[in-house]
Amino acid sequence: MQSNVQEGDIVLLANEDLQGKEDYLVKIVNDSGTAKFALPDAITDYALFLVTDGGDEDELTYARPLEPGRNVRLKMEGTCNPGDVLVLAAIAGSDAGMVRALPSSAGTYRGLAIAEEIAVDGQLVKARPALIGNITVSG
Amino acid sequence: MSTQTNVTAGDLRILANEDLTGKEGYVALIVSDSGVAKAALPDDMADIVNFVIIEGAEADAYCVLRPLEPGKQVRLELEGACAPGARLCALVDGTQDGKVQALPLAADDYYCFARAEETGADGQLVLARAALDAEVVTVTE
Repeated sequence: MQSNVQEGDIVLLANEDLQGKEDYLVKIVNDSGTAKFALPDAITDYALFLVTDGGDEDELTYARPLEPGRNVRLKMEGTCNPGDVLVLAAIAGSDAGMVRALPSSAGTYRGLAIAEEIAVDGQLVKARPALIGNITVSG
Repeated sequence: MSTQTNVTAGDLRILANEDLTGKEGYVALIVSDSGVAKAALPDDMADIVNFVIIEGAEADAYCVLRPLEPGKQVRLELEGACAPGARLCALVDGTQDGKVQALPLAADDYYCFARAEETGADGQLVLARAALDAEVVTVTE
């Protein structure tokens, strides 16, 4: 039975301090059996939610699931053009959970969304979640 | 609080980057025309197409696109035949770009973005659904 399921934003505890992380991407992690929101640890993580109201660690956080039927605004690192594939930014400093255009450097990246406007560094870029999967760039 | 402004669910009204009249049921993607987002047909079978054209338009006129999403079936213009469950990808042959086809056997890279939900014949608008396992598939023959 499809009980206790819903569409739209969900509320979970934050696994770390997510205050000020609105519009960053997060994933669900397991904290001793409790589902919590956390920033990505790797660029291939399944960061499939964007924070809409971040909370302190172990406080409630609201997040919106990425779905192709609705475009969203994501925190941009670097620049992009319309049509660019967006992937997670490198996990460095405060950039975890931001997105960037698919780099040209060799590596495996998870395509998460397609940009729907031109954007500059730090902008909330309008983008559409897309079902792309891993992309291997051979450099 | 989040600043999710000027975002919408559902169909998207956007300028066409080329003549898309009569291309209803074809798949499309967003491209950059000097920084302006526009709708275009795929140029490569590995292009990440994520819309179906609902209402075509001439170049630089507004067309309407529907995002492909697993929660909603769509009808796509089919080239060739397909069986229920078949993986579908875009056709790019210079004359029918944006139609869909069952994953071919010919060596190439294909973005398989949907699965057929009925038997389809050539020229049919086949019932299909965006697939959660969408990915670029490399066929090596």
